[in-house]
Amino acid sequence: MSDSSPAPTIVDRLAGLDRRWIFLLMLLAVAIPILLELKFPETPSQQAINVFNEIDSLPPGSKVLLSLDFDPSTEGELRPMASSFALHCAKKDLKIYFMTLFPGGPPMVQQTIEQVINADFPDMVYGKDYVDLGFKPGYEGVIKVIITNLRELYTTDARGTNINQIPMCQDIESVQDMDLIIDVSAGYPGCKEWVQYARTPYPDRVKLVAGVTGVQAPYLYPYVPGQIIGLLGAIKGAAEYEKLVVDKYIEGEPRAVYQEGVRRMGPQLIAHLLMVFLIVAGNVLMFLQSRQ
Amino acid sequence: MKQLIPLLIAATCGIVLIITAFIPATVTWGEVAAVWFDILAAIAFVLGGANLLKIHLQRISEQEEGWAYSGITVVTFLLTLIVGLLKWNVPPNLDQEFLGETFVRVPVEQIPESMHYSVPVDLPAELVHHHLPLSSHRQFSVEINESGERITSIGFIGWMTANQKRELTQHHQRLDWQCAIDQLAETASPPPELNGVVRYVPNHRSLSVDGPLALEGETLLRSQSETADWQKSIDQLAEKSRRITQIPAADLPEGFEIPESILDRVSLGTETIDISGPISQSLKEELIDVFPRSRPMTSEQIDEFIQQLAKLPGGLTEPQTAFVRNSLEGAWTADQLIVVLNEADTPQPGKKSYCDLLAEQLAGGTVLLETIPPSGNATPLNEEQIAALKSVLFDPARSLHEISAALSTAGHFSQAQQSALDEFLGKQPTIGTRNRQLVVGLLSGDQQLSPEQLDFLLASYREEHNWRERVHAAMLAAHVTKYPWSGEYVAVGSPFWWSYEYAFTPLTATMFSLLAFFVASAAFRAFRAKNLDAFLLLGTAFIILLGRTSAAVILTAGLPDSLAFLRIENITMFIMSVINTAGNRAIMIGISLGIVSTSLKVLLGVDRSYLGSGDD
Repeated sequence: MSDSSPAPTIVDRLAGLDRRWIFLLMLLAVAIPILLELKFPETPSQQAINVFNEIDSLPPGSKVLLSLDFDPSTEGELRPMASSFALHCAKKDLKIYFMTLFPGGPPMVQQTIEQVINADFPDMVYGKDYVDLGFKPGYEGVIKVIITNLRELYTTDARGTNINQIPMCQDIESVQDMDLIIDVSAGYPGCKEWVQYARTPYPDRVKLVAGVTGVQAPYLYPYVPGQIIGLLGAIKGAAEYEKLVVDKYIEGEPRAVYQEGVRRMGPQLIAHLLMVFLIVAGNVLMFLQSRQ
Repeated sequence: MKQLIPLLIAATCGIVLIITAFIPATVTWGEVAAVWFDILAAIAFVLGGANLLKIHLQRISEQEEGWAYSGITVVTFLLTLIVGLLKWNVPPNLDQEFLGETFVRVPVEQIPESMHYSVPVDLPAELVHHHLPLSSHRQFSVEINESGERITSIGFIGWMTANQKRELTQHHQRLDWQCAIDQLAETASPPPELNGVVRYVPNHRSLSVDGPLALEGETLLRSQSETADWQKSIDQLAEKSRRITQIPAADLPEGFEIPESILDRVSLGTETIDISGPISQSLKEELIDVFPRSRPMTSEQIDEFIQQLAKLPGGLTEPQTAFVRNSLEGAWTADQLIVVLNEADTPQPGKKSYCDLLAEQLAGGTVLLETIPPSGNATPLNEEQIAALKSVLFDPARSLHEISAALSTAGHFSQAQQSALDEFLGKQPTIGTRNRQLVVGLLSGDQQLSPEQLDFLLASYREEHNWRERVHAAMLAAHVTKYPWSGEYVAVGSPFWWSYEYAFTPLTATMFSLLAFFVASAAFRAFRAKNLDAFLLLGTAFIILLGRTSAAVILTAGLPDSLAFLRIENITMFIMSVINTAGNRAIMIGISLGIVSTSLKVLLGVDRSYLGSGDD
């Protein structure tokens, strides 16, 4: 008994390509640039410039709330932003109040402090120049309370020190006393909640800039620039802002921790080109199949 | 009732939050409601954990498909919970420990009567109607006359600490009260032999001794009471505080000598260094401070140092040579020290006691000044002292500790100047630390140093670091932990930290990273331009994909300025900020209207679906 169906053409074979080949291509597209340390020049966008200018225009001693609302799942995308924000604030002699709304966030704060503050700013004193307020459960409820009364929720810092004994917290009644809120956000609770419960009710007292994941960015653009002064989207935004900070404040070769954004743009470029290629290839194959 | 209570809670909280959004005067109501929300959210974490256990244990019990995964979930959940809650292997937070102190429990009731102090006073009785400071309420007492209007005496059990004195004096801002507390504090103070050594810590209900309890101090303490409890407490205090800690005497720092100021605590044997009693931070610092500090260098000494470094394999580049020279020349100078010492001798204003101020007030004084003007004049260092100072500074063979002797011999040298000298020298880096800073600068950018040069520069820092670690280990060994659970649960090296760093972090990052692979597969199979809508969507995706990389700039950089709007990065920005924003705003407004409608239904009890079906 002979098989009457025609032999599959090359187009059919390609159209039915095992997806593991695509996975392999994606692996190579990400791994090769990492191994070869491919870097490409970055041109800061207006959004990155807005974020940079807002922080850069603060006078020394200004109070900045740095809310690192992410955990390890999005660390790859958001860690470079967190490091650059901490570096910029430290270089400007701003007083940094770290906090997080994510249960898995406290180590993110600690790592930022270790990698940036402790490593490059040993003269900064805990409690005088920076403080870690830690994590509080309650999602947007936390923002809702601390926007009018910080001590209602934060009676101690993350180390258990009474907040009244921390010099830089003594003149803080609420988040409205901050000169700027910087949010590094991976989702809920995060940037949108800071807009809704902090910036919107107190538009004259609260200023907000943010760095967010690529998935979130499209949903947050409607808030720019009315409620969010500047928005860094994904690793691209991180790399642009990183470049602005490094160019202005670091002489010579920066440490690796301040090149993470630019370094991760290499794999991103190749991976995006691969995606474009796959979309084109898929459509061409569909067209050829329809002609057969 | 099962539905009514949650319904009332939801309705009340919701309505309160709505009211507070519109009426600023009610903002505190919103805070209270939100705090309760936060408390419930915290409880929800606990319920979530319980629910996780219930579901997965049920799956294991019924051996449903994939029950092994449930087993792994339960085990890892419990492990994480246990190591996190118990703070397994987490070192205590040294900031909260009382390093160098030994405690024995002595309740206030067991403090001997000889340590009950009182002073006669005449104060209005209403002064003690308010709550007294918590730190003193067990020890402070008053006697009130029969009419109940006047306080005739105030008393204190045990010795008053500086903190207790400060809180009590600040309790009432009136001089008669503050003077009385001053007098009581003076009476309720330990004998001079024990002052600054032994104290009563009311919060811990304990007697504490700083360092080892000396025999003379022990005799004095024993003489306070013959009761068995008291004698037993003193026995424990003496025994605990005199324990010996040893550091092996091998590989001591070159030229190691025990500083004179701690010879009564530390002795150097043939095989060990014996340290009596617990080690405080200050004793640790004194033990560590045996390495020479950096000092000003003459230009010849700087040249010699640079030559030594340049002669080693690798040599020095011109920028490196300039860096070393600038760094060494920029170190502290003799003139800076002279200014500090001269300023230190400036007489300081004194402070009047509360009783002095009260006396002034009773004498009719209306303007009361708390400070006493300084008396006397500053005596700057004379020429002979300056010469002696410089001779010590620029002679590497002489120790910087010889400075005070040289200055005392050559002229007036006060205790304040001695303190200023110690403080000034204490802030200067050791030679090892200075050389390490040189290494950091010499390696900046693309500059290199050979292994021989690194050894030359870092040898003394390595020795210093090792010694510091050994002394720190001895301090921890001598210390009896008071708060074993005070450390942070994510302390580096703890099991919780390991699970976070090496399990949670890579696992969650992997899950997120898998997106790239699935999206790539979907891009090939599903993103098809089958109609105009799909074509527009794909075209937009192309632009955004390219616009989020450097490719956008590279591909369209050649366009003239008049066509700049066609550059991919600008089209990307346009799509995101105009088209995307318009679409998202429409969706958000729609959702918001839906939320208002749904919220009203929930608050009014029309929609009860969030309460569940009621079937368990």
